[in-house]
Amino acid sequence: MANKILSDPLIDNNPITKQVLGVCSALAVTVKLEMALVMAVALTFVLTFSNLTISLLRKYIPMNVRIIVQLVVIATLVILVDQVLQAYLYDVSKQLSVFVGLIITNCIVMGRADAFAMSNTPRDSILDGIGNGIGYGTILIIVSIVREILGTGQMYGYQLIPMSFYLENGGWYMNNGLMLLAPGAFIVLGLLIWAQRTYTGFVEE
Amino acid sequence: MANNLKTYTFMTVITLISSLLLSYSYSALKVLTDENIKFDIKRNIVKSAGYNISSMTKNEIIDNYESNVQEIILDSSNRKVFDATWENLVGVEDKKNGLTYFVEKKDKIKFNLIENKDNDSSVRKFLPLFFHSEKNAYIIPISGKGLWSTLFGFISLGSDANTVQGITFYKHKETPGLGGEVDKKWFQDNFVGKQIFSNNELVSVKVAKGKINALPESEWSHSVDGITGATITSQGVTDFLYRDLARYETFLRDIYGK
Repeated sequence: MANKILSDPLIDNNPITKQVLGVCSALAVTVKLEMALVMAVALTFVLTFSNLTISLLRKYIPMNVRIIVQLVVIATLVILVDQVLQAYLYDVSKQLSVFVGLIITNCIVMGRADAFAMSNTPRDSILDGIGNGIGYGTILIIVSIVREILGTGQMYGYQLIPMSFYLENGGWYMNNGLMLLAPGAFIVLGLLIWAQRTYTGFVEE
Repeated sequence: MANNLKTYTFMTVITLISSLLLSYSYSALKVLTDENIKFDIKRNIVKSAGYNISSMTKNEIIDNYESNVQEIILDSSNRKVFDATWENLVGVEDKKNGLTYFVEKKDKIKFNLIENKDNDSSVRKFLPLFFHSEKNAYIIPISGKGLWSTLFGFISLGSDANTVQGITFYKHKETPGLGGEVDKKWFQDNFVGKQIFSNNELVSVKVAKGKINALPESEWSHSVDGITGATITSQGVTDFLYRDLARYETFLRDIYGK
């Protein structure tokens, strides 16, 4: 059971490719691997602790204000992450700009809090949070690797494609500018969903 | 009724815990954050002077700043003052128009409460700028409203106080990909070589709607290509660039005339 909770969101029930949640940030922060990694860690942290907190409080939260309570918990954690990033990773926090704050409205966090943590034990909720965080992060990392290599010829900031290949240096290669724009992410994401659905045989009703 | 009471109590407790936690973390991390912001400002001053900061380490940037940058403080009528330092000044933003007033730190709270900041004379207002001795550049802080937020940045002028050597924005909350393009190299590079005076009149640099090729050729040296889909941010930059340069006009004109 525990393994299932953790592994299910990785492929079979992946928050991005299967549930199609949190796509907004998946498009926005995947231009570079570094940003995607920080975003993945930040979201996993928020998701795990919001699931834990909501699950601990689930017997006391008045049903008529449960969404507000969930928002308070999530917003608190997100602001905390934002403050830590500003103190320790200032440049990354500037590049992520509004998207750290937008974790508050990321459907994955609210969705898991309301659908899972409200009715499951703290232990299961933590596993669910980590699982979904990693599921989200994996997709972000794959998309950002493809976009960074094709869009800038780099990988984690290091030049991967030799400079002498480039057209301006007398070579034949050119970076694909489309990959740096949101449509590039859509294409990569679409291909991923295709690959995944071929593999799992899932068909949308 | 009992149910309502439970709801109120629960909400009170949880918001109290949340706000205590956040105020604690804010004050605990403030020292580090402030240091980052201070360094970011220095880095942007060096950047606007015309250095490629992405290939410089943190120490190189600080060295460059400390050995080259002179801080010049003017009063509201552009006379140099010597009893105030950049360290002692703090920027207070007028939320109505995004204009930043520089006042002494001790006056900050008092100045914040004043309604009509422009006409006020009870608080000393200053106009700081920077001179980079290696690049011979005058670096002026700029700020003003875009679409969603106030943009903060620097513009640097060459030793003729006329030719733009660089521009940079270090803080804003514009839409990434649209107004957020002000951060990008292509937009900032377009300012280099433009002129702020035309026939001895301050005209600043305008952000055009679309490409500058569509404008009469006489305006090319005073305008840059606009950002597609960010008309209001572009207009904002045009407006506050002129307004902030005008605050330093007497000082700049002195050098320009020479």
